[in-house]
Amino acid sequence: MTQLLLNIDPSLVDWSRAQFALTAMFHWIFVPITLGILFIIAIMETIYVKTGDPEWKRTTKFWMKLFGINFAVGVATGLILEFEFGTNWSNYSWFVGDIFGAPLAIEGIMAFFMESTFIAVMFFGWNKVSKKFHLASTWLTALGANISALWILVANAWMQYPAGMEFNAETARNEMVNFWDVLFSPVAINKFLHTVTSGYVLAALFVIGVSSYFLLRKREVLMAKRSIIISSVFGFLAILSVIFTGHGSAVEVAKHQPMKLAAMEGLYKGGEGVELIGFGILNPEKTADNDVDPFVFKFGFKGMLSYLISFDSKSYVPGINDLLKGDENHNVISVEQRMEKGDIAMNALIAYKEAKASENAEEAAVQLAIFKENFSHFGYSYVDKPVDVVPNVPMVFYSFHIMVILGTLFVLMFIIFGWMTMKNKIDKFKFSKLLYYLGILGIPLAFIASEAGWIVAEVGRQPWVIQDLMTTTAGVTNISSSSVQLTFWIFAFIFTGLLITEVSIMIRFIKAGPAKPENDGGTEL
Amino acid sequence: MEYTKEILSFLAWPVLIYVAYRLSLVALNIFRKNSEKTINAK
Amino acid sequence: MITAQLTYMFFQQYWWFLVSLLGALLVFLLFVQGGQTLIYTIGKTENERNMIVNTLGRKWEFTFTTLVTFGGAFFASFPLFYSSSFGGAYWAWTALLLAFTIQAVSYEFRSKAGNIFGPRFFETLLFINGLLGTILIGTVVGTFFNGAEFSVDMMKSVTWHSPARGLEAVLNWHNVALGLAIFFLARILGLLYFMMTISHEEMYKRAKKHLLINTIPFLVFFLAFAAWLLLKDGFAVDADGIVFMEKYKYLHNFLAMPVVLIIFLIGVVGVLFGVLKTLFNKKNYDKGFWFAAPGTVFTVLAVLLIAGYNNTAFYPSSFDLQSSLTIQNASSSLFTLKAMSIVSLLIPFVLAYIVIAWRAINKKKITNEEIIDKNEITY
Repeated sequence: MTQLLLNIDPSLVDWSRAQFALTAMFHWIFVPITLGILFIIAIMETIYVKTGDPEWKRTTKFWMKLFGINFAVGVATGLILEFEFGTNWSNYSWFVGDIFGAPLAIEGIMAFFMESTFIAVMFFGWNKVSKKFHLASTWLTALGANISALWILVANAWMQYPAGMEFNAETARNEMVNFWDVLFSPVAINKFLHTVTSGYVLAALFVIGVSSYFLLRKREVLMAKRSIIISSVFGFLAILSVIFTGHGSAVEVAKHQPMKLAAMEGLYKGGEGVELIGFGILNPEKTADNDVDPFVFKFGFKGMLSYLISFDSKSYVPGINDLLKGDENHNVISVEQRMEKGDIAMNALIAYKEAKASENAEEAAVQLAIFKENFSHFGYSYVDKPVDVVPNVPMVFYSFHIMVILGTLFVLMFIIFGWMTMKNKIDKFKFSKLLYYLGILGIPLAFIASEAGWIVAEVGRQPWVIQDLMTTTAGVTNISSSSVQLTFWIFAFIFTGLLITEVSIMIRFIKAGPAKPENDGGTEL
Repeated sequence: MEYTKEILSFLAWPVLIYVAYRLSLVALNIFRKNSEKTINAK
Repeated sequence: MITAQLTYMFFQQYWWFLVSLLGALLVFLLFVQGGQTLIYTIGKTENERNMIVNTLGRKWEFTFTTLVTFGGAFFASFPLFYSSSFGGAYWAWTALLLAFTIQAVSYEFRSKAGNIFGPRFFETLLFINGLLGTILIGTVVGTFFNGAEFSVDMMKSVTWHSPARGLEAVLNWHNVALGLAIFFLARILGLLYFMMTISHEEMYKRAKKHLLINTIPFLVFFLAFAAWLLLKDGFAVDADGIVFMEKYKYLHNFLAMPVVLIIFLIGVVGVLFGVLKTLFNKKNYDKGFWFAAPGTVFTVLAVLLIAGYNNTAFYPSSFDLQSSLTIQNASSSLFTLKAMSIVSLLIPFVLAYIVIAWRAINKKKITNEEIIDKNEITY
């Protein structure tokens, strides 16, 4: 711990984190629907344009209106989220702004304008532009929304695995040296695909849930069945991608954030041939300091974690205690050692700055060399005591396992719903009603799985705001804790109001159902 | 090339959307045939 | 070495231009906010109000997106501004953000069944957004010329020295004059936009009357701001990066960069021409918007350019002169600016499709019939 940050109030960090988490989690209620439902709508409209069947137009318009209700809150929370990097994490903003700002700006230029321009055509253009122009607008809106997700996820991935940059001691910040390393970092690619396709899964479950409601009420049967078919196909493909890239992400986590992986699995003592926990209940007594058995109950697969990480069931995976205390046999450096190296880096940086100021070039060069040698541990100079680098294990562990278990359920749901509807048996067998209820239940479950994923990603990397380089304590804006507390409650109040209103409007809208068929004739069935 | 693997995985994304569209058409077709069968049976 | 420095300076200037341009476009697009403060002034029946909300509702995303992009571009090109101003002037920015947060949803929720609070509530939110959004943006931009109370240390960590965290900007009448000028300008643009896009005789007459009512305070505040700007001392930077006070700095900047002065004058003339032509035309002239809107872009662009160009500190610190931000000391690295500049080549394409989509949607004026037709998706 260096003298620079002694006066940061710990409750300031907590409230700033709470505020960011609040905004991000609210934002993530609305965004995944947007990401996925736009493609579902685009597919429906494509079929409408190809077949000219007015029932498809009705279906398209229904989901489009539902999307419209949802869209604005995502935009509103997104605005806050972007500016919170500046308002609440100003030291972070300088430290990484040279890299992190670029994706945000590109997001605006490339994606947001595309989305907001064509969304207006999508909503207001039905009778103003040609069918093809309208269809193109729908696809472009979907593309714009997803590209914006790409850039913000690239930025997020960079915080988990800072690639393509070098620290410039002169300006006291990280500077980009390779744009492609930032964009095509394996963490970024996995994160992008995993996150957007998880949004598709959520949107597909949303459509299935609403359609199940219609089937339960025996209304809009054709629209509901067609919607279920498209969503099941889309959702099934998406969840295959989620599984595949989820595995890819875990491999990257093992490489760059071993502590996060250990927390995800509740793994205190690592070793060779580590088992994968299917499910378990953690012992609340367990800390990194005691010898209590971490699990009250567990069931797992032997050697599976090792196998999944490296395709070798005998490979070594470090646990929380190995990472804390170090493991010489496997080249794991203890946190205490890393803290020492971090302090060396920090002191060298300060000495370098002082030498520069007094124009002592020789001394500056010496200090700079020391700094560079120890830079990969730089962030550890902000750490108070080793155990502070352990994230909240139960939160990460349970979130991770809930996400995986629900994901498995969703695979089954897509198969069952898709198959039964395709065979046109969904409303003609014994357990129809049960299936509809499952479909409706799928909506909240999808949100739980989705938010759990973000908890794994973001709580799992604590205390780092940038892995190994900067802690949240060091990144936070220097402001009174009570100010942040106040804005937290203001945001919480407004967001909750928005959410309640939106849900209320959605329910009313769904109950009312799609518009009456237009006069040019509807289809039977 | 350096980023081949990453670019290829990235391209999986539009492919996924396209395949979803084509498979939806196939599934909808099966559904149409099956529902016609149901109506004829009545 | 010297060429490298020149290149760096070129990109810093280029990005200051782009950020200024985005800021200028943002102020032009605030016509949506200005219009929102006139819903009840111009719309006397529910149908009329629906027409207003729907003609504005097709454009709110543009304003919103420009605001977000402005933030993103500023972050990417001048991160020190982002970290010092946003974190420092915490309450000013948070208030501004809140004023915009309530906007997006109001369009979507206003006329929907089950919206709990009723249309009036959301119309009030739109009014608040129009009032605070415009005045706060102007007031915050005012600090570009008046300075703010912050200091930056060796590690570029920022300390703010006013407990009001940015809200103290309203204590300076010059900042507030700019805020109010932008507020009335936004209303003028909003009125011209109604005249252009709504087909309704009575509403046109009302808009014309209010055009005059809003132009007078606009001129008062704008001229007060402009006169004061030209006469005041400014924050200049010498070759070693030392900041010092220079008499008539902003006047000097205009004179040193005649192109910027010409842009400024064209802009002012454009706004006035658009307004006056509408006011004094006997027929229902409805294209005034297309003079006043580019006029706004030019004027604001020129004002922002003189804040940063010609060795001027664009975000001066009145607490510690040497902590002031210039486009040199606040910018990103050369590499990032270059990479971003390549991306900026997309901007013409973006503008092109915006124009195409705008024209496609605004081909016909909004009529009463369209609003009544429930099959159309309306706000």
